[in-house]
Amino acid sequence: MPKFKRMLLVEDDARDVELTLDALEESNLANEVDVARDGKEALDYLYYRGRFADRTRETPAVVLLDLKMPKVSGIEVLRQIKTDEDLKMIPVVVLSSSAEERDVIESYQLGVNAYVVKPVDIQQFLEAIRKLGLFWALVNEPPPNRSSSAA
Amino acid sequence: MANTNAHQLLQLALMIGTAVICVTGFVGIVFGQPLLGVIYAGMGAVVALLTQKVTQRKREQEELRRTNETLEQRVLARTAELDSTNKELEAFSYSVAHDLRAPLRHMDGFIRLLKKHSWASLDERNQRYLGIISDSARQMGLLIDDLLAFSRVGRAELQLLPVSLQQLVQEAMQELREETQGRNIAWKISQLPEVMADRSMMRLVMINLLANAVKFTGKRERAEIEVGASANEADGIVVFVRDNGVGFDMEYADKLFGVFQRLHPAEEYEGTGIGLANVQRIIHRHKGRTWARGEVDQGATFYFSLPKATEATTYAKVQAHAAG
Repeated sequence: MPKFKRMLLVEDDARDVELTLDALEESNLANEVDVARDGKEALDYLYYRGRFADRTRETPAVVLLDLKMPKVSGIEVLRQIKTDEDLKMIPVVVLSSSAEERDVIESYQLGVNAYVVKPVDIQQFLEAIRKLGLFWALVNEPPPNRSSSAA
Repeated sequence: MANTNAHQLLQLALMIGTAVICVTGFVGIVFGQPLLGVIYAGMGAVVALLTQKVTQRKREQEELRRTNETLEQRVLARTAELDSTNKELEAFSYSVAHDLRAPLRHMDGFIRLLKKHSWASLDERNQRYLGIISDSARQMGLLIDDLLAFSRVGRAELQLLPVSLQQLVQEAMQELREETQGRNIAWKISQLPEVMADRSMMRLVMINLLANAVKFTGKRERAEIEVGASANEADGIVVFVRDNGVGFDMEYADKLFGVFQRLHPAEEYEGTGIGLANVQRIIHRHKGRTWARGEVDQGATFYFSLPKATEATTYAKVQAHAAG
């Protein structure tokens, strides 16, 4: 059994969380996923604050990031990650409902590692999530763990 | 501004001239030279008249300047209005893209979960119902995507560059490989010109027209698709795509290019019905027009025209003419 790395899913919509986790479960990846329910929680997770203050010091292998979220938007989370010396090496994949050009451009300008549109067709959605999960949790070599200096 | 200054100088010169002439005339009368006095007085009157004319002209120019200014302000205000309408439209389509797709994804997603967990306990009829709900959600997803693309075609800025239609047809045929695979299609592509156009949009035009021809010849044992071009004074460059497919009733020809208009049942020929609407919108934005001829079961020919201009300079003239 290969060792899967942990992933962070940032998604405010409970239904999308359920569908995404279900898709990851089919690839036996669901146990390796932490969920943040908005941008603020995502930053708490990355900075070991709030309800994530006591989590294991471990940088996620990838952040799967929704864009349209209340409080702190996905774009703001992305900007924060990519401008922080300690976080900027973490791969970030935007999981958006749409491929609106300005979102795509802004995400890439901020240094996103991939941009994936959630398909309406659930079979395509499953396939996309499955491939994403396997690639980032298994195939890709993540940056070395910097958690000691990230606190 | 320089004009106003010149006017003021002229006015000053005329006033000084009047004063000098009047004084000289008065001196002439006093010193017993009445004729000289009359001449000078006459000249004084002429100069005074000129002064009045100049003042009047100046007033008229001032008025004209004010009118221009108001006009400019009105143009600015209108432009701002248009800008804000555009922004609203963009916000609208952004929200459609995000907020309408999510519930559809959930519908399809949770039906799948329902199937996964209780498929065995569902009878055939209920399984069919679920299938229909899923299909409808996916269909609406396609419609939304198409509408968004259609709205983008209307908003995106045109980047006019020389484009080889010949090459675009080749690219469109490549794009349609999947649809044409295993089909017996006789392609006849004539010499096509180079035009000033937005490349990616014209590519969409050719893909849509060829895809239509491929689709509606689907039931022909041997499909024939012809692409050609001609030029005439009235229309400029005319390009046509002709097929020997199911054709259409000319009575409904005006509906062909409408958004989501279909002349054939969806069960027989799939598609959302936005392709030709995109074609028309793109061609209109290039100042051309679209039309079609056909007969039921006798094939169809789709035409579009572009202002005659194979060179940038000619095109600029056409544009200036259209704008003026």
